[in-house]
Amino acid sequence: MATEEGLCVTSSLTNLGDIAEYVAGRASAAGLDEERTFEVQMAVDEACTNSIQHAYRGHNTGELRVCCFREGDDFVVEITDFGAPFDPQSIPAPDVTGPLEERSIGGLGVYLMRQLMDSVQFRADPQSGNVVVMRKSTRISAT
Amino acid sequence: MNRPGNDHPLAVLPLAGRLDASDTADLDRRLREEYEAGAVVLTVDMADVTYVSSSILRILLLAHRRQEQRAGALRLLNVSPRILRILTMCGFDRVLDVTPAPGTGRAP
Repeated sequence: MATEEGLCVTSSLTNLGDIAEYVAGRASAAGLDEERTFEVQMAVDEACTNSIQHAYRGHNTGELRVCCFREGDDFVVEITDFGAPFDPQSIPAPDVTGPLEERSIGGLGVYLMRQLMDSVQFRADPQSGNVVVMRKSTRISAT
Repeated sequence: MNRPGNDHPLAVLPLAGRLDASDTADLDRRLREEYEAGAVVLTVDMADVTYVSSSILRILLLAHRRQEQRAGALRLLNVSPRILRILTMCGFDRVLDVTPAPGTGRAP
């Protein structure tokens, strides 16, 4: 359900498409060009996938909230889940330069989120849940 | 491990649309089916793919490893500039045989 506060869906992977559509609409309305909108969309997709697979451990009855807003020159996305406390920073960063055989393929989602966004912050709290706050400046594409 | 069948050394698997974590099981099954049917070099046609998330990249990487076990490979064909950029960001362009879509430059 889309509200003024954002989108609230169950923790099902089948909702990832709706989340992407919602975020793309908001990012575009905030003035991000097509390429930067794609980057935000992908970062959000990776963050929500982590919430569903790690915090909710694949259970599809949890709650996932996606909130988008402008703050100064930044387009901000806040993703909240109420699953098990999960610190994505505990996942080792993948070695994207090493040979395939030696490369860990875990942690790629968090790596991509950091590459695609200007800033990514994680907060885990038993009361307010796991929160990911990601920012992307609207200035480059603003005319 | 299955031995590659002589009648099916090459296979092409066309994919389409937006591929996210909800599509991993289906993609994994389709890639395994090609492997079990004997594909040595498995080409994935990405012409109609608009998006791939990291969970899809992981499945493609696992499939590549599987094909390598029988001296084969996984090839990605008609990769859009946007997806190529993600592959490059992850270093997958140095591992997988990637052919960009014809008539498209690196810039979006």
